[in-house]
Amino acid sequence: MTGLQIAAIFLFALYAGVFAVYAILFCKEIGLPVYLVRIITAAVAVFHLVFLTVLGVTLGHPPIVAPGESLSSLAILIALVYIYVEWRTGIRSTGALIYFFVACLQAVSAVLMLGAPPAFREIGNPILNIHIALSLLGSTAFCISFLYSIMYLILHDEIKKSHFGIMYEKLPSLEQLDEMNYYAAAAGLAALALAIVVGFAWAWAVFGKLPVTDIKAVTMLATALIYGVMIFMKNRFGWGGERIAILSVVGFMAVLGSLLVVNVFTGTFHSYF
Amino acid sequence: MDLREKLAFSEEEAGLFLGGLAGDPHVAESLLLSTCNRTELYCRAALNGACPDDSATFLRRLLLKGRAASLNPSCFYTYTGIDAARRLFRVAAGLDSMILGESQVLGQVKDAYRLACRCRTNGFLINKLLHTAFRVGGRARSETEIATGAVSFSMAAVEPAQKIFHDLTKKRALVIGAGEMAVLTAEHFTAKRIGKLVFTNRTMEKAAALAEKFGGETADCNNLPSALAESDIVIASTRSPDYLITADMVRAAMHARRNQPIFLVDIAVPRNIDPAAGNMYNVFACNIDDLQQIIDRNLSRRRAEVPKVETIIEDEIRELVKWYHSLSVTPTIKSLVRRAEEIRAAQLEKSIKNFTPEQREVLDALTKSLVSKLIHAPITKIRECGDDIETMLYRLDAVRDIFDLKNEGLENDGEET
Repeated sequence: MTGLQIAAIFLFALYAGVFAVYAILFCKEIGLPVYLVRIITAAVAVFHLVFLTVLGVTLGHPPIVAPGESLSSLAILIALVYIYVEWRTGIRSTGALIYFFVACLQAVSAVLMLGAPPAFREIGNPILNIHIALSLLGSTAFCISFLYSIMYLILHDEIKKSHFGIMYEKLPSLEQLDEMNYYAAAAGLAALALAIVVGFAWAWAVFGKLPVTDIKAVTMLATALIYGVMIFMKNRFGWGGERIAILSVVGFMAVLGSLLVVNVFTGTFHSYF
Repeated sequence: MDLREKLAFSEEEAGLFLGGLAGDPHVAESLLLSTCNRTELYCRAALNGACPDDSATFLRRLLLKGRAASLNPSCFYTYTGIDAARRLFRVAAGLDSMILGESQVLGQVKDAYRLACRCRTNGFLINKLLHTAFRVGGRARSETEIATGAVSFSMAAVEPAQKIFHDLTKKRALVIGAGEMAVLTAEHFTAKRIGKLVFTNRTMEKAAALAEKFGGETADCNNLPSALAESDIVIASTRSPDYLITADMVRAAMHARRNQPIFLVDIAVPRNIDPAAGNMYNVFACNIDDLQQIIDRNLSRRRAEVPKVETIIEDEIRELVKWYHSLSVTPTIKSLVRRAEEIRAAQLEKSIKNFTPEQREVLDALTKSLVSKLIHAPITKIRECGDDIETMLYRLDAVRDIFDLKNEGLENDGEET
């Protein structure tokens, strides 16, 4: 096992620890000072950034190519977005769910990094890197949208059933969760649309045809379609809340499918490389 | 209730009562706290006024002055000393209220103190006691959750609204009915800065009066579907035996408002809103039973906070005791110094004729130094007690006893609480 692989596992342990801190804060409201929580989350984020930098230097390319690297980059992006949101809003009640998901992503990333890295011929192509970065950005936004949707659905269920439990007590309002979900999904769709355009343009330039039979491209198009429908229904028919949250969950399943299932089962990133 | 009614004092009656006590030779300070749930008389008795009977009987007699004297003594309770202070602090913190932790009582305690000040029946002890009680009340509410969460139906209706909508200032609430519950709920929504309150009622004059009171609008009760479509929150509190808001009306309203979320609060019995409406998309509905759940949960949370409040009370009691005993430290030391100087001067006077002026000066300095050294140890021992109240009390008593300083030099000589 290499040092980087050990560091990836250690990172998972750190995120599990941060999740535990937020879970305790959520359930018990013990008097952990805000600055201490911020120091812990910032320290873990810095460690993660250092890890990805070393990984990138070792691999000779940005750590956004292989699934293991991508998931780790996705995890840090989500963590950074959450740190920013918490800093701006002061709402810490959503941290437990966010860090639970980040820890899961890092766990899968660590497992994938234990295997041999796949060989990619086109590494270093700047257009392809833009495509990958945009895809990753879109996935991060979809992931955040998904997490807010889950929180929305839990709180919605509690209010509808008049079961006023801990989620009812701690989570922000449905309206806030709905808004955060919508804006994250809209940002994700914009990034994904650009990623698809750039990816298709690159494929046209390199192969002289559009990758319409590539399973990855197809799942990404399906994902864009789901989020597109979601945003259209919201703006055209006033959809909001539960329906939008369910669509966001479905959309994120498609994202996970394109990120993980396709890569794991096909063994490559796209059918043509 | 009968008992409480017999002993209830209006502000005017309380003023007259305290005015009467101001001239009572047995009472040095007094305060009367009369609320819907209690009538309490706090007194500092002047012992030199020779209280005619035990304190319980005395206080009871004072309280019943001019009132029905047939009340059973077992209906009264008496606390003395630190227990009386503890009692007041519990009242100020809301631990003795019918609704645990309610805030109104602290305002009533403040009113009682203002009245005592106006009637000039307050003194150093009542002043200190009441200011400490205000601090206890404030700390209990800011440092614990004894006063958090809704504990009435009208207040509980606001809580889910805040969980559904982020910003109530941009929302419009429709209040159906003009009864007490409707008014109270409107008050709580106003306190949360609801954007607009719209009132509707079978008697439109009443709705108009409420609209004027709350700076809201009125809606025609015969055109409820239209009012429903424009409202984000609907509070129904009428005595109507039938549903005023049917599921079809809500469906139509949701269509008209493009499925924007709506919160329906039914605080009427029998219900005014068809419960089937709550099953619709983006429709959130609450009735009395649901609100009761919120109240129960909040009350249970408040009950869990009681030990924290009691800790605050005990903290403040300790400080109060320390302050009270500090009142006698300085007088005791002064008395001791004075007594020592008196003895020294008297003894010196007896033999002063046998010495030359130079020798007298030496002797005077020597005896002063000797006395100073002798009393230095007891004074130091008293002062070094710090927070150890019990030891300080023990040493103060010992010094006063040994040097025969009983009742000498105490600022509050002859009085006790």
